[in-house]
Formats: sequence, C-alpha cells, structure tokens
Amino acid sequence: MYHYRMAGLAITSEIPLPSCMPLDAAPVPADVFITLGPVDGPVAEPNDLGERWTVDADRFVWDIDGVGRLEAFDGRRLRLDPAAGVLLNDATPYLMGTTFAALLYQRGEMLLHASAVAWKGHAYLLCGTSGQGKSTLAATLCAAGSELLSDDICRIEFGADIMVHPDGRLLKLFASTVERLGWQHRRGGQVLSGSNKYFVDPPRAAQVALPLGGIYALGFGADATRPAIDAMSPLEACDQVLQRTYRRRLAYRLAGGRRMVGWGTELVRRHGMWRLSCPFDLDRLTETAAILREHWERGRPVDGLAC
Amino acid sequence: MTNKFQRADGVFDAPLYEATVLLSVETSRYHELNDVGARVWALLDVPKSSDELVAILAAEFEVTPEDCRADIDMFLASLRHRKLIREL
Repeated sequence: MYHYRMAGLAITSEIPLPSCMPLDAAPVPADVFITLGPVDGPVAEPNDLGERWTVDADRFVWDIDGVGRLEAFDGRRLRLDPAAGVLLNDATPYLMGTTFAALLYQRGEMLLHASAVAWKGHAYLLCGTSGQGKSTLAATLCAAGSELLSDDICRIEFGADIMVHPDGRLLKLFASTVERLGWQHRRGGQVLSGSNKYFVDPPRAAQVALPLGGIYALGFGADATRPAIDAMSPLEACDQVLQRTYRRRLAYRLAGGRRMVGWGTELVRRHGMWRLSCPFDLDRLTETAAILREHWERGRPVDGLAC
Repeated sequence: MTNKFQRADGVFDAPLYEATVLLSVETSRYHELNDVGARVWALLDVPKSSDELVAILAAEFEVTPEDCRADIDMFLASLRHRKLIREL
C-alpha cells in the first residue's frame, strides 16, 4: 500500500501516485481509499451528463477512451478500472485531477484551480487558466524561499480563518523551466508518457494548512512592461473566483449553486482578489516574484477591494 | 393581462457589502444589483407582472408610477437579456 496526504486528507492507495509526495508511514485512520478494479457502468439515473461523465448523489463515473473508467464514490473512495494496455502512470493524472476533485466536492469542499505558496505562515494563491504560467511562477517563488503549498487544486476551508490546504503534489514543470531554475537534480519522471513536463520535488513544501494571505489572478501579457498589482472590484473578484473554481461544471452538480455563491461572496468579503499583470517573459519571472514578495511584506494584503 | 416574470432556474443571490450579487449557473457569470434592483429581485420570489412591481415600488420609493414604469421595464428587459428571469 502507498500513503499520501492530499488536500488535508489522509489517503491509502493500492497504486503508486507519481504526482504526489509519499508519506513514510500509514496515516491512521485514512480518509480516502484508492483501489484498482472493475467499475460498474455509468450512473443508472444521472442527474447530469458531462463529457463522458455521469453523476448522482454519491457517485461520479468517468469514461475516458484509451485510459479506462474512473469512479469517485461517497467522498471516500476512488477506483480506477484501466483500459487494456494503458500505463498506470498515464491513467493516474485523470484519477488525481478531475476524479479526486469530484470526491472532494462530494465531501462539500471548495476547490480553486490555483498554484499556492507559503510565506511566513500564510498562503498566497496564484489563479489562472491552464498553461498560463502558475506553476512556473510558483516554482520561481519556491526558488526564492517560499514553500510549495499546491500546484493544481487548492482546497479552501472556511472558519475563523480561511485556510488553504496543501495538495501534497509535486510541481509539474517544463524541462526548460527545470533547467532555468537549476533543478535538474530535483526532476522526476514525465507527467505523461512523451510529454515535456516533469514531476519536480520542490526545495520546501508546506505540510499543514495555512491561513490565506492573498489571492492573485494572473495576467501574462506582451503589453505589460513591468509587473504590477492592483485590486479588483468585489464583482470582478467574485467572477474570478467563479472562473477559477476547479472543474466548475462538476462543482455546480456536486456542490450546487447556492453553496458556490456563498463561497465566492465570503472569500471576496474577507479577502478580495488582486490582479497581477506580468510581462510574458520567462527571464523576468524573478522580477514578478520580487514584486509579489514585496506585496506580502507590506502586510497581509487582506483588503483587495477597489476604492 | 400583462405577463408575469419569474426568476430563472439556476440563479442564486447573496449579499455583498451594500449590493446584492446574482450567480447564474447557465452563463457562469455574476451580476450586481443596487438596492432598487435587489428589491425587485426579492419581489420576484413570487412571479409578478410589471404592473404589480410598479405599484409596489412606486409606493415604497415615493415616486409616481409613470416615473417608475420606464425604469422597471428597462430593468426587467436587462434581467431577461442576461437570462436571470423569464417571462411566464
């Protein structure tokens, strides 16, 4: 058996998860179990039909050609039924991405599609679309002393503080970024067979949930001459939180719109959101990282509201 | 008889500072209402015609029905355009 801690949950798995940082000992008790084996067909009476996935109150089933069938059940179990001939390492990204997100939504959690780093006891989220550079910027911040908190799925927990849980995953970086950072000794296997992205063990990784310090929506643009940070209006911030909700359609179906509007408004009311505009130039990412660190050092940027 | 208007399915409201925001699941967008808009939205928890809305709001906000009607009609048209309400 393999053991991990992801999004604050203790996980015991029959299969290795190359994207995740393993634990040395089995957590007691486990919150989630991952097994390998047959998965029954689509949900019998689905309340939604997605892109080859079906859901009902406690079951999410996803068919992927060339990968297999994946299931999230009752917020506690993930199951992978791999297609003939598929490498497990090529199937697990789908299991630990969308399927794991379905499980977390079954548990009532809020998820943002973001990279996150920790600095002086607070979590700072970098939100953006896939391929926009979140991981690369997070890696640059880690190289400058921050701890990695998340590189994909950020579980947000509302309480006296808004807490961000570590997602327990390795960074996923292009080979060119690994070389630029001088992290060749930290590079692991390919994210998918034949891809130019690799799993990378960060220098430091946060092990516990941390209070939210700030959320930044990334905007890399060729016309941005230097990095800049400005506050979003509450409406714009709500919209950004919605757009950055992980697998938004799945969230609608499993969490519901009432809960999502509550998440968005509470997050904005208590923290707001910042817009980070950056030059589209990998060689200037250290400059962007420095601007962010300066923003954090000025004090917790909790007031992200436009005046 | 004028038609009634009703909140669209999949639209959820929440307070945000002095305003009310609406989340539309269908369009995946947020919309912001000021205090008058929020009052119209609250009144549409039960289907109402524009005549009924005008009568209520003119009394609450101490304006003439004539002054109120144009604004209400425009606001309802905007909500329909954004798929936040539907006409019955």
